[in-house]
Amino acid sequence: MGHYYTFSFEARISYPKKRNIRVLRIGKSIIVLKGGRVVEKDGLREEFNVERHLLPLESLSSTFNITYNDISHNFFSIRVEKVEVPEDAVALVERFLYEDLESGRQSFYIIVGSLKGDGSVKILKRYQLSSRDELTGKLNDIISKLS
Amino acid sequence: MGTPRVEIGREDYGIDYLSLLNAKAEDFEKIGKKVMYRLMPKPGRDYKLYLAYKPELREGEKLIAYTQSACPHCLSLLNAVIYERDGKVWIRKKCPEHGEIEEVYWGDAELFKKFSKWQFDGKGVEPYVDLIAPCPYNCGLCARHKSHTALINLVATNRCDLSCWYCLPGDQEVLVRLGHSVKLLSFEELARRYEFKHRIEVGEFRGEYAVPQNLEVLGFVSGHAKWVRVTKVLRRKYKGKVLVIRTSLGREVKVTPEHRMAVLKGGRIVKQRADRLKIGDKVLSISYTPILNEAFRRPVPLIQLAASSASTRSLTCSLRSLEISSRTREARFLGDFVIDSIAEIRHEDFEGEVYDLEVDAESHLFIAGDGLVISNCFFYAGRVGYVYEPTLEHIKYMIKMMLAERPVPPKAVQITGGEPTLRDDLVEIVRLLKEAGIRHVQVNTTGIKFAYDEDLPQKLRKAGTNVVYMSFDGVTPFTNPKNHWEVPYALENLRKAGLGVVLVPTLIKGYNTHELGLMIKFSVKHMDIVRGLNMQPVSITGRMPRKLREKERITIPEAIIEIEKQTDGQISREDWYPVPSVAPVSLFIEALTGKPQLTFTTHFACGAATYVFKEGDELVPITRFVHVDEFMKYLEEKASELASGKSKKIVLLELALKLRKFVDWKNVPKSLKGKKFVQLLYNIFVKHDYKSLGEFHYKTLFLGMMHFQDLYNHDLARVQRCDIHYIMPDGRLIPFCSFNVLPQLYRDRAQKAFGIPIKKWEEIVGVRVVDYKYKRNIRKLIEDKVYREAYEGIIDVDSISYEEHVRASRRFGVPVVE
Repeated sequence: MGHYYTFSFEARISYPKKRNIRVLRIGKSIIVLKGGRVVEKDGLREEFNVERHLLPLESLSSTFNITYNDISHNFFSIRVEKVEVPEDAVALVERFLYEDLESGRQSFYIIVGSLKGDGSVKILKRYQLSSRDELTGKLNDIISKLS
Repeated sequence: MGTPRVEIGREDYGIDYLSLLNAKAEDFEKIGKKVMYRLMPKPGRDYKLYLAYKPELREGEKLIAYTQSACPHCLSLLNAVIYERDGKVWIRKKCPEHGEIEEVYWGDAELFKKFSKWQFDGKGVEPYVDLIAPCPYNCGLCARHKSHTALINLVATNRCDLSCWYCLPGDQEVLVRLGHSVKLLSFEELARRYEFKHRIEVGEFRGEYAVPQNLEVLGFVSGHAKWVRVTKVLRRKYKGKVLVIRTSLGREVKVTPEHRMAVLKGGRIVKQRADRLKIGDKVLSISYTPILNEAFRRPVPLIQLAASSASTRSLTCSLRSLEISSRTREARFLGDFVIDSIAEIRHEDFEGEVYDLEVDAESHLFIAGDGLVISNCFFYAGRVGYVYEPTLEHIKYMIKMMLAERPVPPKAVQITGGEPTLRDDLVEIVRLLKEAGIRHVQVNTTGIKFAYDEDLPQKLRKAGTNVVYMSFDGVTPFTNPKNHWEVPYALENLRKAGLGVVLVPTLIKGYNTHELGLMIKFSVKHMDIVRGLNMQPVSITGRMPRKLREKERITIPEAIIEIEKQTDGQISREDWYPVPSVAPVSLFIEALTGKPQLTFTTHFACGAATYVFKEGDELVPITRFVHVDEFMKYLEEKASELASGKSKKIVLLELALKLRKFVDWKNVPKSLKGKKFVQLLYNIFVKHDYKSLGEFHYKTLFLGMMHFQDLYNHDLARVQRCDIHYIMPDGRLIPFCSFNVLPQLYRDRAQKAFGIPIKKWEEIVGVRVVDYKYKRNIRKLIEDKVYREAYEGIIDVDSISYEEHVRASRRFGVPVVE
């Protein structure tokens, strides 16, 4: 059984541009299996190891236009979760809350990717939504199409 | 030990460029897609990650930020810390293999703070390559990249017409015996005879070697010059300083700093590193008298040779002065040595291949250069061994790829090299770019060809070239030996063609920084054709000891402060703004039009600029009569209002009414008085009219600084925000500071894969690469009034003797002819 990593993080950046943000994973990972069955998976916490987690983190963080280099400039914390992937997995849906800690502005994101049994993910779509209601509506829409 | 780096041959990518000379753009597209990922840096082979260690701050240091940076030795990724100390900004990193490296990041902490207020982050680009490696080993561009392209560099050729060390090095020669034939060959001529099948690692040096048959070189054997067998011809890539050592007899040799030379100390011959040699050290050089006596069957007194060699490389020149072809003459001889002393040691930048001979002599000493005795394990300079020159169809593919960039396709392209004017079809390349919709095309050149070819600037202008970027390192022959003599003629021909020029000096502390004020004065004197002076503080190539780096390093704020001093405060440090300071203009226009605009979101430490107007004998920077801070802030606010849905008409009306208030009318230069200036600003900012922007440039002199990074001050935060990119032959877009800071991983690898071996190229074209080398007729150039008038009021041309002119040119490596 393979696995993939998902992340929540907070960064207070003062260089080269001030930017204080928080990205929180919402709910569980939604995995679509061959045949359309949908399962929800919790992740197991793991300590952040930059050399192991850098690429998976950045494949996600590019959605928020933030790289590991940005995050690492000043204060930061990263929560890593390792999600086990069933062998017959075909798709993945993850939800995030993005908060600009300076302005208090919040956005919701849904990331849809193809997922293989070995845990390899390829992000196919990203949706930026302005409210939790929009998030729920869009999620239901996506799940109904995938399942 | 560093990461083992295995050099890959072009055959490993399956590209035979010779078979692609008639290929169509579509064929190059298929090949580009096929090899793109294969050309990318590979973990383990090209780099390692050393991110577990985080450098600590020390007493007296104030944290600015942590970042990542490459190790100058093994290119591996390290954590680095940027901090303030003693009024300067520094960067420090530590490689577990190569130790700690500290470097000045910015020479003035106050200006750093001022500039940092102007950072704007871009929206990024739709990636060209998947995210498969950490930054900066994933360039192409990838999803991490924050800025879209402001300027794309298109390398038209890697050939150059200067025989200097910067572009086409390797004309140094060695006397060899091949069977019964004695020849004076350059190292690359020698290397071309062999196949370098073997890889080698000697300490930290990695390269390749060939095992020659029947090759001998003159060795030092018990005080006599005797033929000794060469067991290996070695070569490796080298980027860094070379030492040019000249003796009192005028003999010269160029060696890498670690190379050992034979030095006479206390009656004994010792081998000493070149970078530890001192003026006056006794070295051995061969006495030519017996050689020439035997070779040419007539006596040639040593004194005559010494005299003839005083100003040039003695052996080659002596042979030539005797009207003997040094390349073909066959001779049999044996020699002795004279004790010579070191008169001068110079440091020069070098990038390319360096050579070494392993000899079968107990002393491991052999004779090279101008007859100087040196130790083996000697790496000599040579060229890269291939010609990279994409065909027009290939360029069409590259144009297609550059225009594919989203959300903002590029609007400006610089054709660069090597020396792009060496291509006969340069005008055609400009035409292709213009036809594809590129708005701004500039040609980056030494301008030497323009000095002699009046038609070329005309043709380039007609084809749509907007401006010429011309190298200009100073106002004297000593600071600008590259093109000091040709600049006046190039300007004259560009003037006739109505083709504007931006002068581009590379600034090296203590070398040409004392001429900053004069460079500005020269630019102002020729303001009818000179649109700007874009200064580039030196980017240290290769590895260099800290003391040498400190000697040469100058950063943007130090250059700005130097300009303030040299212009008596006419252009002060307050007049400069970082490149992203103009981002609000783009944000405003973007909000107004709804179309993504070219926005300068490069890192604030990458570049600075100002505009100056001429008012009589005075220079008036734009900041003296335009309230830049308030104006930009206002545009940013208006952009935000537009984004939140405010009426465009109302915003435009407000801007039109307010525009005058950002101008301090009592300080406006006379040429701009009245409504003209506000009208110009209105056209640029409200109508976003490119022609008005051009008109603005015609009235002013742009002063710019662009500090490209090197491995010592490398900061990924800057790389990820870079907006000057190179289009690669496989279609990737590479940030400037990856292309040039990590050339082994990007530039060299791709150009080699798409290159043609020199010998093959020469067979096709029917001309040798070295035949393009430029030879300078200084006497003719300095006697003409064009030269005198161009420098009149800037330097006293009569105070420089002809001999000094000649020496300056030759030191740089450009031969002088009568």
